[in-house]
Amino acid sequence: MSLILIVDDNPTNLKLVTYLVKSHGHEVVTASDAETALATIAARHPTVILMDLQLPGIDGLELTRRLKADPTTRSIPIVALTAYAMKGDQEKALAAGCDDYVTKPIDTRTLPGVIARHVARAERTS
Amino acid sequence: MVEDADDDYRILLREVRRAGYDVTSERVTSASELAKALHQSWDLLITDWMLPGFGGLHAIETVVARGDGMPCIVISGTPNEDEAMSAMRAGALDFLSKDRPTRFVPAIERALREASEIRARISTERALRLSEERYRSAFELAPEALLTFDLDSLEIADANVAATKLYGRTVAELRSVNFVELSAPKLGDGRETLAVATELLLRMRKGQSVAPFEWLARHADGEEIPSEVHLVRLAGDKPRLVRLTVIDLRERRKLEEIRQRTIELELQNRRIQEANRLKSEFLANMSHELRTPLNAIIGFSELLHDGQVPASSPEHKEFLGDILTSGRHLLQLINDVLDLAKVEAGKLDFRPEHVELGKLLHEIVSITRTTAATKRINVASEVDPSLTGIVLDPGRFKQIAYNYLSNALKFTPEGGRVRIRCIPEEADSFRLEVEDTGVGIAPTDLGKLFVEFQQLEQGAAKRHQGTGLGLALSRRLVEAQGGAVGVRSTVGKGSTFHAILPRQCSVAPTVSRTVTPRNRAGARTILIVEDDDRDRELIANTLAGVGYGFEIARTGADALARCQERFFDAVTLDLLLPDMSGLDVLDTLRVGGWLRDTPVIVVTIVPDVKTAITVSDILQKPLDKDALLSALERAGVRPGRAQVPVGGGE
Repeated sequence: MSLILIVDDNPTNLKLVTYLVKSHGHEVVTASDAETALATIAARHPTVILMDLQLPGIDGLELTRRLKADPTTRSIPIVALTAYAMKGDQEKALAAGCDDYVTKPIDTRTLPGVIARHVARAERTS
Repeated sequence: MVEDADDDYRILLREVRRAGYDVTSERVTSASELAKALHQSWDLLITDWMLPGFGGLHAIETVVARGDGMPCIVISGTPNEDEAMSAMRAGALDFLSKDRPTRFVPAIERALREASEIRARISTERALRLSEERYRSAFELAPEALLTFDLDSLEIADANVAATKLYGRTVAELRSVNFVELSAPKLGDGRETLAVATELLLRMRKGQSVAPFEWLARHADGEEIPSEVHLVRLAGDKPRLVRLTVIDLRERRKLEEIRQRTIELELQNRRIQEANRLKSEFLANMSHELRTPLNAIIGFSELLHDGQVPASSPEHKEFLGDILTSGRHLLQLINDVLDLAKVEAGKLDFRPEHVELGKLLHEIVSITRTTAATKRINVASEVDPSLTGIVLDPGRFKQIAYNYLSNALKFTPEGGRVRIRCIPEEADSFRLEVEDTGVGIAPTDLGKLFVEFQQLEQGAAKRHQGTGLGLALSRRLVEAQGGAVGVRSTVGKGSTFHAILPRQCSVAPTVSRTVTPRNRAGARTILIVEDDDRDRELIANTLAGVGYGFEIARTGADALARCQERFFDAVTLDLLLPDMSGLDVLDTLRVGGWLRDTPVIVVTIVPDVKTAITVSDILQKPLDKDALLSALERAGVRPGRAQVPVGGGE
């Protein structure tokens, strides 16, 4: 079974995405800041990461850069899940190394498909 | 020597040599030979008087015309008085007879002595003349206007070209006026020119020096010219002259102005760029902040709507609660933003009235009681007893105090302590202070506190709780009343936020309101004009809940009929009625005198209502219960109590 890490500092949004992802048959771990996320990734090695970009301290962009620079985590697909939806925000996310970019409010009907696609890709390559 | 007889020449040379002089000499016999010989430099010319085709007088005139003071003496074979007179008149120093050779040497010696004196005088005179010429041209051609005037008669003695240009008068015209007449009647700083000039002249007459000063010169055409004047007493006692230098400052002023303007434009440009940047940032933040609660609202709604959450599961109710909370958060955000925009546009209403600060603080503490109790935070309020006779907008004051207090509660850990107090500041101001035992704020973050959307990263769980606008809004509300906000903080110990407010708020309400006191017992009765069933029910329940009486009108016609029947203490008015516009209803009632002074609170879905008709408040739907109650309170309509006249009353 695939394991999805959801990184978001907003508890309500964390709750929403967790419920949605679980209901589509994935296992879920969560983190509300970069340090917890790094520890969780090292311990559990998730299949896909859903990444909020605004985090306290080290933000999602920086966390993504670090994960993509590290050979042990480089291959984990990262989907930016963010309320930053202004011009240029997508470019910033992709430049930092995100594999996909989804804006909030999320579409609960299409997000599971996006996740499934990245899970399939991750499982093919591993 | 000009001499046709060689013997006479030899006799002379003999006499000179005998006296011990070693001389260089030459004998010439014609004008052309003389001219040729004079290319060389000689100490003395000795000339015969009568020569064939030439004469001593001509030789003397030739030498004197050179102007170098070369001495001439005449030695004549046939001397007579007339010749001697004309020789001396032409410039000869002596006139000798050839018969008396022994006189030659003494005469030559005297001539050389005199000549050296003459030469010395000539060179002094020439030096003097040169110096005068140099001085004259320096004076004439100086770029600054130069004038000399008599310190005693005050008459202008001299003026240069620049002065004639500056004053637009010829030198002769300048001589006929004095300096005061060449000045504006009043100086740039408003002082009388005559008085100032008199004082300066007196000081100069006493021999004191005068430092350069600014002056307003006056051109013949009346233009006043800003200038800098230097006064220097010239040497000599009679007359006592003063040199006046007038420097035209117009060009310098113009340059200064241009430089100043350039700096201002640069600053303005920078400000515009900064404002632009802040606006973009605000928009980006706004988008982010709106999307965050919408994510929960839309996301959970979709899950529930699509039947992904079984109605029987505990999540079903929980998610509905999350939608509600996020919706309220969104509403608060929008209200804050609208308030901010209003403050920015200077459109925010302030309705100052006499208030009791103690009561207001008590109300604020009551609102936050649940939050405080949940976190076991002790909240105490205190008002300095000397703070009486305060006049301010209670609603706005509570908004500020509430923002501070809820902020303090948010960042104070469980079991902490929060103090809210009002203490005197200056004689005409007081200080609202909220002190907490929270996490404190790093000095580097203090500057971000009162800025829109600049929430500090104080821990993940906390950040979603505020809109990021509360403190910024508080700052603007305080500043709009002429006050100031601030904070001091120690990391780990806590923070104290303050707002300094005037004791008498002078921001006039933009919506005028007159409350007629009516000493009637019993509950205040409100007419609810509203056609929407749910809104009507909400308003009615809210009013009844705090003890107001009410009556209901569903249409405009109904409202008109009821107002003509009886008196209401206040009216809530929907603008979109089935039969007519709410504003038309209001207009008819105002004009007809049925609602002349009654507070009217417009409750509408129409954004940005513009009306010339006086209303107490305009509230947006969805209606916030508290907003309705505080609007009524602001209008001076309180349940079950006699109304308090505001602004003098009857």
